[in-house]
Amino acid sequence: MSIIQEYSLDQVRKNRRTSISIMIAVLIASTFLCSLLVFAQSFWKQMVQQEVYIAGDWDAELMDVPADRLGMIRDNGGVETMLVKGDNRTALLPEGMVLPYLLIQNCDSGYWDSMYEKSRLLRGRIPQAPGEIVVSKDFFLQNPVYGIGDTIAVEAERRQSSNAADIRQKEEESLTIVGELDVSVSSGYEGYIAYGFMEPDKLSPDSEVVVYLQMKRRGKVYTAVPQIAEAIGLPRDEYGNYPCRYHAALLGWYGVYAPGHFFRSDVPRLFLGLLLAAGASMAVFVYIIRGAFGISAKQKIRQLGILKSVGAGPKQIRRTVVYEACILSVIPILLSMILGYLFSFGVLSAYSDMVSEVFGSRMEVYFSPAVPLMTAVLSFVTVLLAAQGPAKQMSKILPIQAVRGEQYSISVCRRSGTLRKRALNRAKNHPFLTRHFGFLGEIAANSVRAGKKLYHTCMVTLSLCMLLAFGFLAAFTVSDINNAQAESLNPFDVNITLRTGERIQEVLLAELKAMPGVQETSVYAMASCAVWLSESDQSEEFIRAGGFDAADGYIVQRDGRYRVPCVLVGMDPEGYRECLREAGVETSSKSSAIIVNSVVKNPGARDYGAMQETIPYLNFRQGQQVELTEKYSDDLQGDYIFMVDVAAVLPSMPRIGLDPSYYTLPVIVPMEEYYAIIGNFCDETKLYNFRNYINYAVADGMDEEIQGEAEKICSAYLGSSDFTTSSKSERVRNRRRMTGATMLIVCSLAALFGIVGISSALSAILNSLGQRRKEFAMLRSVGVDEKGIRRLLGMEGLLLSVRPILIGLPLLVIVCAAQCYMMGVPVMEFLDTFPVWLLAVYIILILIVINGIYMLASKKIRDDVIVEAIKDDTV
Amino acid sequence: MDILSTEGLTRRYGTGQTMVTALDHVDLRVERGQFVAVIGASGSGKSTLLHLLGGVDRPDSGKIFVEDVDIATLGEERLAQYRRRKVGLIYQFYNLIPTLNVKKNIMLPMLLDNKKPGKERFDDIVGTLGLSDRLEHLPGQLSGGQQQRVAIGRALIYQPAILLADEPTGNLDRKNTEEIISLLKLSNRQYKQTILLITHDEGVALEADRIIKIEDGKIISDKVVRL
Repeated sequence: MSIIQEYSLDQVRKNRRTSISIMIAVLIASTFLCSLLVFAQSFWKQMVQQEVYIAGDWDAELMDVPADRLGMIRDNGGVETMLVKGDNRTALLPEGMVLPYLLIQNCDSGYWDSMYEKSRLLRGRIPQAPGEIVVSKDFFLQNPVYGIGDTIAVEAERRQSSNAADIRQKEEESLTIVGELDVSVSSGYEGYIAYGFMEPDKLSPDSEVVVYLQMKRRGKVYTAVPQIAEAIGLPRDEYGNYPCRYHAALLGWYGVYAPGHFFRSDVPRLFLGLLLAAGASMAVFVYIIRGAFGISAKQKIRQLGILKSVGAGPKQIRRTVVYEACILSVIPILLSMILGYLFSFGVLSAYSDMVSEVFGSRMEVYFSPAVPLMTAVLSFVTVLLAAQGPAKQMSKILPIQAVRGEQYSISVCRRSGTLRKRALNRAKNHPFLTRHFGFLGEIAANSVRAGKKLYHTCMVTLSLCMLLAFGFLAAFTVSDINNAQAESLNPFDVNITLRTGERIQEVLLAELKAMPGVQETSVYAMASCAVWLSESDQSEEFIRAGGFDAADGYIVQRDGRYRVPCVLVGMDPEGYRECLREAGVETSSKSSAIIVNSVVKNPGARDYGAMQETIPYLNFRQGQQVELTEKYSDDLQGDYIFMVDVAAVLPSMPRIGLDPSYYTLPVIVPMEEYYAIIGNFCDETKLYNFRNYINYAVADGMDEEIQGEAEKICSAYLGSSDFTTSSKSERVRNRRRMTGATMLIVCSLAALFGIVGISSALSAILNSLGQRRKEFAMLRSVGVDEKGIRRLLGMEGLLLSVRPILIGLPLLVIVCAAQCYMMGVPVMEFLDTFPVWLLAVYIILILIVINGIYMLASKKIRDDVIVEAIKDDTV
Repeated sequence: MDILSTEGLTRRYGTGQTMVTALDHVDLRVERGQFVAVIGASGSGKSTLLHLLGGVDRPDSGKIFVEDVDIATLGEERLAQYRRRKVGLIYQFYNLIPTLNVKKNIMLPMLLDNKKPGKERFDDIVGTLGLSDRLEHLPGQLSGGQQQRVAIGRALIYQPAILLADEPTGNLDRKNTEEIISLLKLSNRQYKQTILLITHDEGVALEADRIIKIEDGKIISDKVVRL
């Protein structure tokens, strides 16, 4: 061990108080970083699992694959696992059943293991052998005589499409029901959904199946899968693409993107956010730990001066601080692995308890080996960066200044490379304190001022703790006020979304429309589309407000034409006729449409009320023909173009619970017309646009009851994943839960800063008072009594404790004011909602804790024997 | 032959109205092997001169030649090397590292160079200083006189050409003072070291070969009392 290492180790042992303070700061920093990584990893894992739960664990899908090519796929070097589904069959059920058919899809064992259908199992088990099936819940609802374990004799027929009309070969078969699935199919199919078991090797060569692939190297999926498709001879479509699909959502979570999609996906942004959060946390902790090292370095400045005077070079002096950093960081970093996990586990479990009802699933805490490794690296880098500042300062100080123990703040003027010195203990007049508290007040103020650097860490951390916790609270308060405002303007209390990927059954819609206790109902479907217009199509008012050119980002300009986003709204006949009547039109042709010609006047307004103000948008007139296109975005595959006759132009959106954003033009058509139009859209958007939205206005306090009733009705017809409901009361409750859960995480992290602040205050106060023993003894020797010393210490404690408040409070006020300004929330309304009392409690707590530490720490000084303290104890 | 010399050596402290000139254009020459005493009132600048010669402070202007090298222009690393190998500094308040034992405090300049002194030499020094049975003690366990001996041992260990002592006896009683001065004289004779001693004590100053008096940062007298 070199003399520098030995010296550093001795210093760590000797200066226990400072060492413990540094170790606490490192421990908290490391725990914070570990928790951040555990949070990030748990969130990532949760997202991956959720995606696998919803859509299955696969990377790519090959459609219409002849069964005799399956061997080629299996043998491909890039394929890890092949999951097969297909060999669809329609089975004619025995007489007496409500619906005549079973629509069977067969899956191999790999498919059952990896895909999402097994998570829809309500009871029983998944099929494990040919002849076993699981059936949809409506099978049991409509045919209660059947149960799990029953065998049904069916006349099975091979089916080429999901349409029951395409039936070919027939054979007698008996099927055993082994489970119940939470899935549904439109009543239009006249059958029940069922899933069976298949062995791909036994498929007839001419049958076609869908193959899902798990790749050995996910990163190569976008190049490998087209090669596989080509190798097995799959034909390309009119766009030159093979019939394959990628699990982009899951691949995205693994960091794999289709060419050109990297910057458009959310995951890189989230990752960047994590990097920024980690970087910002490290920067904050570098500053905090640097303060702790600064105290330690100052404490031994004289010894470092001696070392320098006998020949220690700047590098060696720097090394003493860096070695100290290394020695002091090992144990805290190791300990933080356990603490970080326990902390994350506690916080995430509590968070999960609070939000599991909102999200419908719990968040599990994951702790992979990568987390401790990354924590160790990041923490160590943080500590080294923190130690660099004091190390550099100490290496620059002149030996004689250090030997004399001069209290200089030294910084290097980068340009000149010279040293700039600033005496911190230069006396300053404090007329107010002198007038009210005499010379003791002046001494107290000067002492606190002289120890400014010493108290930096505790000031910054306690201010940061306040700013973090109450800054977030302010953000939630502002958001709550805005949400409450938006909810109060929403006339509907219960919202239902039906999304089966096909036309919603009329019987279900009829039942929902006839819901008792509902004061007002609206039913609509909607699809995004666009219209290309010229400058002359803009209204005068809209041109005055900036026109198309002011809507950059929403409206695309190309070759002098403007692509205006539209929303095609399908309304039930009654609702549509009501809209026409409102516009003063009695009848209309089949392809007629109502244009809602309004646009937000001030899209950039901060005030919610100002954002509601609208003006006429375009120059559309009754009787005009408008050409619309499915292609509202360049990357959309479909480009179906359709015409509508403008039957009426409305000045505002009818009350159906739809609030189109900014420059979107609503085009309302009858529901049948809507379905006819979207029937020509490309498959992906068509499936999405079959969604129906039903809104209810109900009496106060009835919304959750009606929501429950609606859920019962929907459950009878649809699988639980095919519909969602929400109500105002539920939304308020969920928002409170989310706010509470997020505040839990924020406050937990803020508490870590608080711990650093308190430990740093303790260390700084003990060091400061320890260094000033002689000063106090001298004051006592010239006649300052016990009461005077107490008064002096009390004043110092008070001056010290108000500083984090004086730093943090104005910053907090700025943060709150900025949020109110940006969101257009009146200050009085904000103050009415913001928990000011909680802020007062925090402030009082800081005052009590710091003054308490000061009084406890000063006990030794008050009890000192004057002559012993005054004696020069310099070695 | 001069071992050290200064030209126009100036050192100021503070700025503006509070600026104090501690050394004002001092020119000085010291021959190899000389034992020089520097005397003067408190605040006259004698300690400042010693610190500048020892390379623990930097002049505002002027030159300091030690064996023909201007140490005022040396970089930090070279200056540290100079302090380690060329000069031994002894302070009034000993300035030992309290967490290192006597042995390591004495060997400190060599240990900083990742070297160890020869056993014979080390034994010779600690024997002369009377510290052979105190080597494992910490400085806090020694008397003032013993601590000053440790500081002298540290200054001697690298056999530097120059020994600079800043009132080494200022904190000691008469008996210890005599012993320390004897040790310095012994070192001056035995190892042919050049010694610059700062003192208030005229009796101590008279032990030197040459006495320099400083007042208000200037040399006001320079007398050779012994050849």
